Amino acid sequence: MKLKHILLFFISIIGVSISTMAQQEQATDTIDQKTKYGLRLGVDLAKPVRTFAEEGYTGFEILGDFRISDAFYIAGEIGTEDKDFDEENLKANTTGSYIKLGADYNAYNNWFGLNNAIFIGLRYGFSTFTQELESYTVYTNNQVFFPTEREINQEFSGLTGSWAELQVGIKTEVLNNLYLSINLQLKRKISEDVPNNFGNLFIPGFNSTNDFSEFGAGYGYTISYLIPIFKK
Amino acid sequence: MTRKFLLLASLLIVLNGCTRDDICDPNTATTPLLIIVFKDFASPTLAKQVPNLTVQTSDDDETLVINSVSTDSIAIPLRAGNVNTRYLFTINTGSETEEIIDALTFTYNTEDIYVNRACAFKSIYSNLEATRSDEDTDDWIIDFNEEKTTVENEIEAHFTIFH
Repeated sequence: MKLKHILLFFISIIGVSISTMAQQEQATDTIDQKTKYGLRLGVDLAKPVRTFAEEGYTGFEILGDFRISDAFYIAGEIGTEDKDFDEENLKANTTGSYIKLGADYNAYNNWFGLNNAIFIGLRYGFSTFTQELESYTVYTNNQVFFPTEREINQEFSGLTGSWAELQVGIKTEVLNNLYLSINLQLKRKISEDVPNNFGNLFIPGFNSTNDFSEFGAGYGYTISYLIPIFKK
Repeated sequence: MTRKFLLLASLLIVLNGCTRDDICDPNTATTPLLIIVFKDFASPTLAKQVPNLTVQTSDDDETLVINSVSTDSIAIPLRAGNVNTRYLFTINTGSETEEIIDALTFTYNTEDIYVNRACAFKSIYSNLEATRSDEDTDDWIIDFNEEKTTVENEIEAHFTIFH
């Protein structure tokens, strides 16, 4: 029994989630036909992991959702990110914070007593950030002269960006009221302040920008705890 | 469902890892070269080939930019890290006719323009001016003219040398 739980936990960690085994063992004697409503709060585990594993990245995000009907949740995230851009011919840094607000729809029909989810979410994201152009090498196609490097260290502060985001993910209740969730995020930029004679290489919350399209992508691996408020 | 999801997840991560943002497309307009055309001094509208032209930098490396080519137009780089670039122009390199070396110094202001994340910045040049910078009286370049005082693309010639 305990082993199954441990297994389930690890299987969830890898990303494979909803286990029918777990459903069978939890769906036992409950007389109460109501399901829990409440505030679910958590953190994105992927960001601290990335902070630890990736040089030049620091990020943290807290998130929450509130169930408003059988399948709908109001949901949002707040976070900060700091990212270096460190290429041979361009060095820069972006730092800032963001908020994402929207809703999740649970498309998964749970067995009674279970609270797992396969969800689709929509968000509106907004970020304020500062970009610093540190240095660059003037790009040329020939090697006649030594490359020209310039130290700039110019800060562009007070920049903002906004985007629409589609999330697809799964949530599993691994322990009573404790959830693990993985999600993928597809984002489309709505607006951005472009710094004079420079570009936004990264927008906190949006992730890396792309020179040739308005789209961005991201992911989250979150752990959250449900504070039950009432049952319905 | 879960399998499809995982497939999508790994696909996204792979796609995200390598995009065409990473490499500067060679077709992108970056720092322009100075385009020089050679014309006949007697009839200034006519292009005139320079026999066995060699162009090299005048610094210690004496880097060869054009190596003994008969041509009526060349494209050479300007030093972005400096306000001037001096070149040595040699006519009749290695041929039986007498070799003559003339030197020109190009002075200019540079301005850096952001291109994109892969190419980063390019330099463009303004207030282009050339001066003769050799002492000898043995010249093959009779005259020259700045057709354009700004060098920001490689569409048209910026400079004409009459010989």
